[in-house]
Amino acid sequence: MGGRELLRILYIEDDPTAREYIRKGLSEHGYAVDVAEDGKSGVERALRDPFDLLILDVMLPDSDGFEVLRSLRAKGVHVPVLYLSARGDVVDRIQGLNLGADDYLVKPFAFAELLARIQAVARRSLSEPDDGRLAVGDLVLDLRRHAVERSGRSVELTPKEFDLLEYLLRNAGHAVSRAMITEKVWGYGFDTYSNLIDVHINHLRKKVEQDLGPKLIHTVKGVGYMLEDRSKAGEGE
Amino acid sequence: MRRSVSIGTRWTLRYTAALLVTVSIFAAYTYSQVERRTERDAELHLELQVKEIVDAIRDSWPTAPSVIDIIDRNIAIAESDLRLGVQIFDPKGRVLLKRGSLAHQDLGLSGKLRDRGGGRVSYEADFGGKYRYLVMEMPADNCFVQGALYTRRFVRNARTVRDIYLYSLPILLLLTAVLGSLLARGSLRPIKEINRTARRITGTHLDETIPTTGNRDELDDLAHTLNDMIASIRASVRRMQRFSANAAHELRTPLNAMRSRIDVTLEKQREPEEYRRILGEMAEEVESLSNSVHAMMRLAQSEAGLQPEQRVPVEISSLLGEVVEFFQPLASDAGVRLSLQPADPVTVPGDPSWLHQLFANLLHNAVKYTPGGGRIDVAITPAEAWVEVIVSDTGVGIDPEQASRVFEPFHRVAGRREAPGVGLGLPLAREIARAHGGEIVLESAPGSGSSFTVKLPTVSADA
Repeated sequence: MGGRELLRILYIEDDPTAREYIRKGLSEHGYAVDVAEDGKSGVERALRDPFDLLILDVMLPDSDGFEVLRSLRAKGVHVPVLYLSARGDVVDRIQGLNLGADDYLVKPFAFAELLARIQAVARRSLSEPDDGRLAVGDLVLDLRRHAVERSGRSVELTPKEFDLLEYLLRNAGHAVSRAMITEKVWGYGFDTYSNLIDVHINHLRKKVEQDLGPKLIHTVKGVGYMLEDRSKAGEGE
Repeated sequence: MRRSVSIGTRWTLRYTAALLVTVSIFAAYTYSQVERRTERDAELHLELQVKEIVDAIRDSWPTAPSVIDIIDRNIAIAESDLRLGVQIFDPKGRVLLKRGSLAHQDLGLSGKLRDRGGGRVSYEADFGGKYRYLVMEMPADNCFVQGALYTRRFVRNARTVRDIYLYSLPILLLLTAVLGSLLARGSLRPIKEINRTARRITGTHLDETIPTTGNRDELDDLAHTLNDMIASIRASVRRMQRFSANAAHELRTPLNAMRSRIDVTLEKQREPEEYRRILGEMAEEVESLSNSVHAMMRLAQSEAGLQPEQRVPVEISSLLGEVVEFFQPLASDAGVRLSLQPADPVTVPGDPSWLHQLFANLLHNAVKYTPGGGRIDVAITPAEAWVEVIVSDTGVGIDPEQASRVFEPFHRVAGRREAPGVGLGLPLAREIARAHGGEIVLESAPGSGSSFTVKLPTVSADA
């Protein structure tokens, strides 16, 4: 992940244990993390310094996370926001996303899940490919023709398999969690059947990998999957 | 505690007041009727007397004695309970004859009568009491007959009626108040009883029932309604107690395992690689605990019902298409044929994500319990105001006794080991159906598969 610009994150969280561990974990992954323990100081920090991402606990001692976001948006701060909530409430979720939060994560979550989502939010501004083609190695997905080719040979996919591959390609080189795939590809908030994603991935693997070339869809332990061409780097499994 | 006026007292005051008003109106009406009637009676009586005298005069005037006899006799008869006076005038107003107890009074003859010069006239005058007069002209005999009746007795009749009302009213009101308050107290006694029982009922003490009288009146209805309410609260408290006991057990078991795992690990120095492996396994344990907690939270949310902002039109056949497609790879891996019968679009007001979860849970259950070579069919049957979705499988089935319990949280079918967090799929499906105003029914028999019927209203219940 060299050459990546240092991402500045403001983490607003009242629980000191969570605050310290997450801060430490994110720092170890090369993020510059500032922390605030309540809504008021969080808003002050966010107004003083430019951040690339805000991680916001929904339940804060002095105000709720929605208030924080509302007052920041009212003051013209349009930094991407990732919500954390212990409630997993549907209404919370709807409210958060309506207010312009970029993502939403229910506690307790795996740290790897948080990392994957931070990367996804940070990448969100990526532009569309000019030629409508997404490619990794010899795998090419043509958005305009809605067609997939591996080493020049056409691959027949069901519509959902196509969407899944498109999502993996758009996040190529980055791990995406099963929950993220469920939400983004199937469009549902509930994550009960995120393990069913494994089955879909296996079916997709059979179609795009078997006999057609080196392994492209890799399992990332404890997180989910990552599409990457590792054959050239010489680190193929 | 501030005590306001009791319902019994208020009722008593109210119907006492109501009675006062009713009786007053009735008394006033009766009195005015009696008074009018009395006046007419007096007038008729006087006319009868005067006519008789006039007839007598016509027959025998001026042979005075017989006329005087008749007059005296009439006066005598009348005097027994009335006072009657008779005068006979000539046209110039001179008194020719004056008899009766009024004779000492100069009744005079009104100028008015003289001016009229004939016929009859009736009037009233006051000479220390009300008198009614009737004067009749007798042109043939060239005289006037005047009768006067002291009407006090008639007036007294009317007064008596009035007095009866006046004197009896307070007694009547008092009696009404006493009886009313007794009645009110009597009819409020069941309410007191209900109140006393309700006070004894608390979150932990829900076994009380309110005594019912069985006579199907409003209070009995109220008692029944409250008993039903208590019963449903009792049931839901029991359900919650069972749920939290089960949930605690569900969480304690893996926590215990982790605890001992940690203790054993800490007992001696280990290689970093071993720590890494153990921590990795711990993370998986925590993950599965998180899943259990998530599942419980979802169940609690759906039990709380749909929030109004969640309700949007959801097209069921395309939603089912997506769910079936989602499960298709799992089913094909298991060698199970999963198919959705084509159906016309039908819309249900609800939360698409919840409904997705509902059908996903049913399909997951079906795939899990259907051996390879079997099939799962999903059919949509629209009905008026409802849509039925039937998920039927050729799986292992379940006996009717167990069938009723598969919707209970944490219930596990005997002999089947499940991962933690599972055991909430079907309860969640049912709660979601109920949150949408619908229901799920399971029909099953061992060996012949199961069939879940989801009934959902196509019109919003609160619309």
